[in-house]
Amino acid sequence: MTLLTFAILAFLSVLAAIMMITARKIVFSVFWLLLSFFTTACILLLLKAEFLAVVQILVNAGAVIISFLFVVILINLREEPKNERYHQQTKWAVLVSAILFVLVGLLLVPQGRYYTSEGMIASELVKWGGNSELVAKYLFSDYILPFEVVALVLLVAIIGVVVLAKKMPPKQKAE
Amino acid sequence: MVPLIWYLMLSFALFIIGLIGVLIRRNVVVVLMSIELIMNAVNINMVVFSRYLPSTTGQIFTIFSIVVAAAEAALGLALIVAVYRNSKTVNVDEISIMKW
Repeated sequence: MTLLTFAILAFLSVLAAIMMITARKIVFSVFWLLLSFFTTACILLLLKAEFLAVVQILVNAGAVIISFLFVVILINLREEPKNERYHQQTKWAVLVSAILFVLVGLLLVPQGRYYTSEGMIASELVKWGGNSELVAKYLFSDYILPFEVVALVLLVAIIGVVVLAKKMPPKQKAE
Repeated sequence: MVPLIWYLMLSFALFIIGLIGVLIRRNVVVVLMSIELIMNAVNINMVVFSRYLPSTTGQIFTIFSIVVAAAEAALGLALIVAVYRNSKTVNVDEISIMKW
């Protein structure tokens, strides 16, 4: 059953990704990316990372997709003809990427048999009452410094976005 | 129970598709979305290993990774808007003023 769920989710995820990079209009690309984010959240649920699945839906499928949609509204949206949509190097890019995929797959698959069973963090999960509690316990004790640094990164990003997206005053524009 | 290797191959497939998207598309918005896809693939990878090695560290770092991805998306979109305001284009080939 889990296997079937995983197969469906994996298929949807890869399909959404392929449709995203080949879609005719940017808006369709954004919605395919949304589907990809949702299937990723489902895969995280399958991996019993419930907190991360919710974060994925809130942050990625919510905030990031909305900001992409806003930018698509702001910029000039028109359907691109096929020769304008793809780069000249398309053939080579796909070929080299496919070769990379096959090579790394050949390296990975023989290693796969070493991890065939899921590790259990069950005793810890029971002790702390669930996935969110477990994550919170580590986040606010062992990883408190990276947590603060990441908060700083967000602050810098907010200031940077405001500065970048601000309209230049006309005096400065004339120079 | 799903073998680890399937998750790894799924994550790697998403990574490769994102890479192809970065390489072939001319629209800079789609390029940024492909980068988001790559970040997503990496997140799956970290959560998978956090599940199969019994360790929570992977999930913690996935939180950090999601935050950085969100900041990157916001900054990238602000840059796109700024560039579009100046040059009225989102074509990667036409935004080449930095090229000598």
